[in-house]
Amino acid sequence: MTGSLILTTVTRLVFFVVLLFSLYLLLRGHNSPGGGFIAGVMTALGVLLQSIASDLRYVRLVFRAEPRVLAGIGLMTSLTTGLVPMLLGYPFLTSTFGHVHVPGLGEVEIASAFFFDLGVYCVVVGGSLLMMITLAEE
Amino acid sequence: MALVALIFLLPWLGAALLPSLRPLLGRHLGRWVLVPPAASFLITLTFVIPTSHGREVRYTLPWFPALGANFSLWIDGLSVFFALLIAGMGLLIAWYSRYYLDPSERQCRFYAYLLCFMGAMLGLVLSANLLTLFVFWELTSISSFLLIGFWQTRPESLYGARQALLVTVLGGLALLGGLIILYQVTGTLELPELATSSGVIRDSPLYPVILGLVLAGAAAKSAQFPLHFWLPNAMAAPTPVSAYLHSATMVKAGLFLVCRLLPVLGGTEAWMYAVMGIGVVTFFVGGALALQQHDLKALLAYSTISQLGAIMFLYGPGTAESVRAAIFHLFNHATFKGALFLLVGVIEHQAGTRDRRELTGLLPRLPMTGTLAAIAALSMAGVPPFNGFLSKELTYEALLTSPAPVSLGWLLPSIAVAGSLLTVTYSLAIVHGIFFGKPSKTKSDHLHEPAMGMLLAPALLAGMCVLHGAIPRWLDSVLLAPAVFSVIGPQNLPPVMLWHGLSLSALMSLITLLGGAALYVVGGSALGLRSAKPPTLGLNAVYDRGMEAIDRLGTLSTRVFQSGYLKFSVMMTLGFLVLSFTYPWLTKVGTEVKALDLAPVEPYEAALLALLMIGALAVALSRQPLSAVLTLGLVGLLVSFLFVALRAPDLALTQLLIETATLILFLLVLRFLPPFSRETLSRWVRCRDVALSVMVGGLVVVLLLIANGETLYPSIAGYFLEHSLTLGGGRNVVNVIVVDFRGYDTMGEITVLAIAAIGVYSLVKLKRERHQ
Repeated sequence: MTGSLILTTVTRLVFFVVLLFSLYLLLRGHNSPGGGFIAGVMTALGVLLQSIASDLRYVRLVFRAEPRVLAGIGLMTSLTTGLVPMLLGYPFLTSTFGHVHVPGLGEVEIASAFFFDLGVYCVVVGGSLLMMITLAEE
Repeated sequence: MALVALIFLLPWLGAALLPSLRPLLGRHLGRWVLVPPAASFLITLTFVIPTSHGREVRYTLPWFPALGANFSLWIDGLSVFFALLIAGMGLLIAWYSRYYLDPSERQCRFYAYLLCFMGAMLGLVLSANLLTLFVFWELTSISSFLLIGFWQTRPESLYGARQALLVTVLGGLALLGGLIILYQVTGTLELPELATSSGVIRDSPLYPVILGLVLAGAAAKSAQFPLHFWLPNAMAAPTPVSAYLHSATMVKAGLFLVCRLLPVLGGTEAWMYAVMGIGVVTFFVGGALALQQHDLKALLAYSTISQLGAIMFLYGPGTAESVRAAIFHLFNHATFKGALFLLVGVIEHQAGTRDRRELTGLLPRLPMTGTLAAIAALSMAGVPPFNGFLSKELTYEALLTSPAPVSLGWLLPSIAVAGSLLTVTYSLAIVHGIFFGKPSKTKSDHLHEPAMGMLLAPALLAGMCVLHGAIPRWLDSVLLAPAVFSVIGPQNLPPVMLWHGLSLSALMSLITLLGGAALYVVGGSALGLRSAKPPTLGLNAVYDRGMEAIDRLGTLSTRVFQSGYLKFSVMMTLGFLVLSFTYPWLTKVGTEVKALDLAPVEPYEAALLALLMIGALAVALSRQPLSAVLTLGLVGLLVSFLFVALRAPDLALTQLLIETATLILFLLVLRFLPPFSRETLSRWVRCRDVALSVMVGGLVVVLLLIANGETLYPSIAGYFLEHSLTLGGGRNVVNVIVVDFRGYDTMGEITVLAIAAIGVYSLVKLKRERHQ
């Protein structure tokens, strides 16, 4: 699937913007519209756009992560955020949050739910890419 | 907690590490496998002294406290007794398997399955909560399935494995039902608490249901009539597995459960007659069928069924004496039957056959094997001074001394004598039929004893038969009596002795032995060997018919519902949806729609909705797949604008992205689709499609109107809005709900997503590989 030169060039540039924006959505998700799911779909779409404009070999070059592995890692991450509280004597998936002072940024909130969301992000990216790339290769 | 949990975690740890350690261990794999069972055995040993003094330990880890499900462990006499039995037998079996398995077999897999089973079984007997117990219960069924089917290329292994799984899991389902009802009645699933509220349970109108379901589960697991038929087929497993799972431990899980629930459900007439009824029938059916088997393992399987029935029978009266006899027999059965199975494995390993008709006069060739088998079989027959004699004496005494209404006069002792008579007969058939008589020419010429190590495990078990028979006091005081007391409470029971004078029970033993011997002499030696095929009760055929019927039903429903036309599938789904909602709505709810409290519709919202409708119509009317997909994308975009207008930014963003993803996916697969068919649809087909569409649309509208007017429960939205920041630490309520308040749901959803992705991947990959 190779398209026009313009499309290829533009999407290669746009890809990183999309990736950055999706990370932004992921990070701010707890307090403003966004979150792991949306960010995950957006990342997957960015990669998919690449695969349509360029080809899968280029995508594999830019996006090194193996979707299957990524989905597995995501599931493990989310499960671990659920299990850690159990080790500390709380029920499964108990969440907590705190504030950390980072020089230059001020108060930054860190919620344990963020790691859960990170897992969701990885599963969504891995899962949807696995599906899309498999179908695209067909 | 940690130490107790290690008892069943160590085997699992071993099973998990085994595949990765295999290259490291190499030839010594079989030796290192002994470590987890040995460690579990030693850890359990440390609990023997405390529990023999009547102390018990309980550990509870809350799991779903709101549902009564805790992960709780219970160390008492009974669980320590069973745990030692399981770990000890496991150790012997693992040792024996080194000699039994050919080096070319997939040993690592075998040992991993075996350790998995051991962990599950140890967990089962250590559970204090019935749900914890149930989880382990099912795990034993699954590991049993894997072990029976170990020889994957043999059709009988696969058949036996599937049958064992289906029967025991079906029983497990009944058990789960019983446990849930039990929880409804008592509000707890902790065994110690259940025992204190046994009065409530017995008076409950649901008591017969609970009893029936629980006993069905136990009967399926312990191969009780009429669910016994899976056990002989499970003999397709490697012999160490048969000795371990299908004789010494797993099939005793049902008996263990009945024993644990005796203080909870026992003591009623229903219990007594049900348990004794199942036991008696199984006792006789197993014994009678055992006599007629050609295959030695099948003989042992039916004999196991019979002995399990005898133990089940003893739980019926529930007196101190009968429970003691049951526990004794349970232990003794594990020793002598374990030994017999392992020795049959030796014979099979050396002679290459297990057919009784081909095996005679083996004693001169296999003197050691023969002696050990004779000890074990005579112990099974109840010949003094072996331990089988003890348990039979205890059985007779328990039945003679049980209070009047329980003993049913002379009936129970006579039943026990008659059943044991059969036991004597088939025990003699093993000893005399195989090891004595004229040696058969074909098989015995090149026969010789196996490596000494292979005989070690059966020798230890046979030694236990002698030792425990001679000095029963040792094991009784530290292991067996505490197990009995943890079921029926501390009691003063007379000591167990090999010989306690000329009593009625001794006389009954004599009758049994003489009668059994006479039966064997008169006709037993040839019994069943004349017929070409051993008889069954036709239950296997019933099972086969059932499986065939399920297959046919599956084919039929596939043919009806999976016609291959997407349009038809969608029509079926939507039509069913309309029917299933319309019917109760018309008959029960009524057509009244409550007063609506609707917000005014802004002009731009109305415009959006109008556009949406036009878009949807355009999709339906488009003539090309490409234009249909693009218009569908347009509709999706409009919906996401609508979400923006309704101030739901998260929803709008998600909708936008998903719409994009759908569109791209469509474009990816579009080239595989044929162009829309040009054929003109008949008038009636058009009418039908339009009518169905209108009905579905109308249904959704009506449902929305009804839902808007009804508030069955107070809305939970307020709680989320209020606590999102304080409890979840986030201002985006939607996100806090997804990752925190409803994290459990999300966990499930991402799991489903991952599974679906793997499903698509493997389907496409599979197809591609098949093409190549």
